[in-house]
Amino acid sequence: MRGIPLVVLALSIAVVAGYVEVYVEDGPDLDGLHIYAWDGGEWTPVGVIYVPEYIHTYIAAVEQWASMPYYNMSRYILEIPREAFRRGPPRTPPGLEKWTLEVQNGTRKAVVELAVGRKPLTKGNLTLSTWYALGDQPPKTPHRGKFINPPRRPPKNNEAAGEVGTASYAVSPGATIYPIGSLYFQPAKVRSGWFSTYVPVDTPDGNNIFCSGLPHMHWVGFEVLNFTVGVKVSGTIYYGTLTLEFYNRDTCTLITTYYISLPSSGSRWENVNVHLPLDSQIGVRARVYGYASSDAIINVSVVARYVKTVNSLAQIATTKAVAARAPSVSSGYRDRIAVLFGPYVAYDGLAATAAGTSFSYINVPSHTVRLRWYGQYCPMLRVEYQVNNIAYTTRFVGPSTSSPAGYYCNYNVPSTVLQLWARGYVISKALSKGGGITVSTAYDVLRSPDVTISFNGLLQIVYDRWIEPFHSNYIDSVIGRPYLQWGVMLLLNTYQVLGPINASSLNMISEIRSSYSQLALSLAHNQLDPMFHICGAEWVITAPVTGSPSPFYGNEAVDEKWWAAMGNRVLDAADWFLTLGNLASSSGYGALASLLIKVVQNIFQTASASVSVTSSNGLYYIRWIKGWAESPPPTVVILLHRQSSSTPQYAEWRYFREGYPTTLGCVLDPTYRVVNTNMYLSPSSVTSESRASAKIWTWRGQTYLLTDALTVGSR
Amino acid sequence: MCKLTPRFLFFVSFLLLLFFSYWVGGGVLYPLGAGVFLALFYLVLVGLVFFFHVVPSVGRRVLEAAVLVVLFASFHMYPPLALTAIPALFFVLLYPVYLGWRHGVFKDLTHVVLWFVLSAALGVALSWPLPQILWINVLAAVSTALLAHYILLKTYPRLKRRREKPTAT
Repeated sequence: MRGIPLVVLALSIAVVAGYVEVYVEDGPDLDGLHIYAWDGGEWTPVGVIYVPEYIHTYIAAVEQWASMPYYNMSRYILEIPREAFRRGPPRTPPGLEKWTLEVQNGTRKAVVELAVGRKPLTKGNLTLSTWYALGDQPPKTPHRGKFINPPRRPPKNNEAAGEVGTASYAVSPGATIYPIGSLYFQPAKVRSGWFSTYVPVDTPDGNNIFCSGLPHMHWVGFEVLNFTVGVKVSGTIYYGTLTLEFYNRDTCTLITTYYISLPSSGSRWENVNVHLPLDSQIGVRARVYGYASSDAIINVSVVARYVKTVNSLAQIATTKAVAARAPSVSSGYRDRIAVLFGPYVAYDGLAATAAGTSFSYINVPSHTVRLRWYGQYCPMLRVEYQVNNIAYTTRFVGPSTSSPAGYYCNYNVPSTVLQLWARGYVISKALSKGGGITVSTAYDVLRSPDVTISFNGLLQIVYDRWIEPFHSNYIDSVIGRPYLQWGVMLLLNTYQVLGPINASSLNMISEIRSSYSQLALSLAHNQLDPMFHICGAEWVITAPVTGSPSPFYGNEAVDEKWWAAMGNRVLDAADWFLTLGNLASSSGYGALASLLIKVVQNIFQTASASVSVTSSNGLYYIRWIKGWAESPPPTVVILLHRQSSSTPQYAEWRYFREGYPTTLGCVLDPTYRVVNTNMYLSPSSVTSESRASAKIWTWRGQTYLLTDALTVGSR
Repeated sequence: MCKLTPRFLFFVSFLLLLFFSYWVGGGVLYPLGAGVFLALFYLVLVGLVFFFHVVPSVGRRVLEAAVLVVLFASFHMYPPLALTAIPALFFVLLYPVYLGWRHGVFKDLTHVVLWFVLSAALGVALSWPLPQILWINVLAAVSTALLAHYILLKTYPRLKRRREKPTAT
């Protein structure tokens, strides 16, 4: 019992006393709000569980149909304390608004007054906050609720000040952005009975002590604005509290502690606003304590939101993901069907705006929908787009012809650009480690017996990410480039081609990593079939490279085979004799012999991986071809040396293409994949790594604390 | 009919070789491709050497070419077997010449050496301005080798007789 505030016990008793579930349809958006009901003695948080609509969905990643939940955030269940229905509250606490909810159960009606605001109430140390959850089943409660004085717009207190969120797909220098990234913790296993433990930090290198005597501290960084905390309680805890201890990492002093009561089970999230000094490095320790009736596992996911000023575009990196192929889907006798793409990796550092939009976008390709229809006229087709299973927008598409042609109505759905919203991204990160991005299109197909949806292009996601783990002012305003501490960082830029998760469909990730002296191009893929595999690749970049490139399969250097070396020497000698005899220099029989020697020499030279670098008009073409005597490697890394005399600030990654085996050998795809992403090149000098240390897992997928571009551990 | 066989063999295999060289372009050759290239080359050389004669055991020559393809394809099964490509190369280059000498196409070793030298000399003028592209190289090399072979077949027996007559008297 030591260390557990009595207030926690009091709150727990209130929770255990029970609540009534009230289903609200077409309610106002409750995102970011704290909702309270009067339980007769005090204001108690009201839980919000969003109710899904299930749609028969074709999941492109596995090429299978499944019933998937979708949320429009206006259908939810409110968990209201039972006592709130019996006793009217005193006046609404200052800073909160009074909302009135009319609850109907059959013929019986009741009215509940709620207090709603952006700033949570506190009691002693404890923050009485509202937990949100994505429910997994339709409402079963008989209580139906309706707000009889629905607010026109959400309450404004403590609203983040800042720019007006305008739709823009390009970050410009001078802009204020709000990057979002995950902090990574390991699960905390608690035994039945009283428990109290710090949640261990999930570090790739085991380093989690920045301040002596304060283990399990996670580096958060500068200019921290607010957090979203997700918890997943596997098992049941009787009651518990999560404390977030915020430290000044520079002085190793405690700034503040945030106490929140834990939900008893399930996955939930809530928003946490703490006032922290923007110009100090922040560290956080998470501790859970309480009482569990049986063994339980508590997962804590913290999503941090920052406020940053873009001083140089070097602070922004672009990452692109493209679907490997355009699906064609058939179904029938359903009211609604959907096609789901993803999940794609939700890399840390998404550059968001104050309004909750972002600079990242999803390009949904144009597609055709074909309905079998027996009516006289073709109906309008309602198409709804969802990102991370949360409704994004709806459009109506007219038929190509007003009357069915041969009992079929055709619809051409134009391509659409969806701006990635911060909310779905944050929820995904708060509920699962690292998070993901999914994109769905849903169609009202009105129980047509035959529906075919054919996509004409490839779905594409382009992320603009903040890659600067330091302070905004870390850019030297004089030279417009980051300080030399960047020299100890490995910067990454990724291009993904993601198809269904099976051996026959292409899934590959190519990455360019830049250290102060090296550039590594990597390719990881799943095409390993001996008859049809990726046997070559070509990267087209603008970063000047020099010297001979070194190919690696995984971390193993590719060596010349002993027999190929021997054969090459013999043929070299034979060619030398021909040259000596002045026969090979012209045509005729000597040239025939020379040609044949070169062909056979080709066999020995192509037995092992070959890498070539050519340059033209400022573009560098780096080409890898697998050796015919080698098994298809799942991971290829080409290590290049950067030109020390030439130090451009950016590298542009223009194109990429891969090759497949033919009867003749490895042939690269004649069509280049357009990448067109920029990446910053680290300065060519190295200084202290004190600033860079331990920050890396905060910004996974973008940076790494290494100067060796070849070796990158698990991220 | 018998006279046509070597020419037919030469032109068919030469056209296939040219097409194959054009198709390969500047790309790399894996063992199967190299095997096909060498096999076609072997048939071209046999057809070239016996262009004005009769090819001995045509079926056997084609079989030898097929064995070359199979041998090179087997490198994929056991890569160190690729070392056998070197003796195979010498076989392709020298065996047609040996057959020509054995069947009286080449009168003696001097005839063979003169063929090598003359084809090289003729080729200098022809190949000098041409771009270094595989199929053009093949075209130039084969055509000059054939021209040199024709010239020597017409002139070398006379030269030899003229050289032998003073010795006889």
